[in-house]
Amino acid sequence: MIFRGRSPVRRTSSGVVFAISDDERRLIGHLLEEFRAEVDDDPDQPDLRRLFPTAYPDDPMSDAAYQLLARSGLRAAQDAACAAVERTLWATTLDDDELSAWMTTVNRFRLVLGTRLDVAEGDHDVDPDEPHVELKVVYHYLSSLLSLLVEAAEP
Amino acid sequence: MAGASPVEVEEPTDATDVDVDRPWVVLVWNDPINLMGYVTFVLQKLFGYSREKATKLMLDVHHKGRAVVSSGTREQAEVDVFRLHEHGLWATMTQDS
Repeated sequence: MIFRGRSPVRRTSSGVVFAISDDERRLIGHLLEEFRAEVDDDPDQPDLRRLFPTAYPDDPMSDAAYQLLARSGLRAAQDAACAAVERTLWATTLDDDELSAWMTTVNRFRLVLGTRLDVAEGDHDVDPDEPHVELKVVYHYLSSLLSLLVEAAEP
Repeated sequence: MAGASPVEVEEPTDATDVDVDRPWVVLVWNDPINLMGYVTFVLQKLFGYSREKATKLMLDVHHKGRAVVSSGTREQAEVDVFRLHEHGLWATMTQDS
């Protein structure tokens, strides 16, 4: 995606201007619904494994204890960030906490989609004949959006 | 499990005591999904690292496959791993050898 001129997400003296298009907002709203339904339905499904990573790869007992404690915290953080994105889906400015919620949520969408698509490093091309081409386009769009959010967040 | 048995538990051996003193390190691993700019930003935000230090760590992750981003007690390391997981990074912890 090529943005002409100013970024739709940019820091100004009065906060972060958030001027993505209506189509983009509808897409994010749709992804938000799907994401919540999937996490509620089966948080242990393989496509969601990047949302709940292993802390102790060589120590199953310690990792089980970590998962027991961390999972509910990770779910709470995911839910809070999703709620903030939903609340600001049509906002024209964001504060720093809202910007952070957008970043982590857009990245979670990418983690789930990237796992499902089994993306490889430097995988920037979209072949129109490949399976899941729509998901691949959405994945690359989310990568562009996340880059803009990070640029706006940088001090 | 804790509290269930009247049998006395074995006292920790000296070797275990030495283990307790060895610091824990938090590793971030390279993965094909997380963007380089995002990883740099998260390391700055969570650890207060300068942009230069965060960029160097991110490049270590990218080129060497992993980097140590923090170290300390087991409890501190677990908190750091959790915060990195909250931000979607692939982080693990291990006791320094």
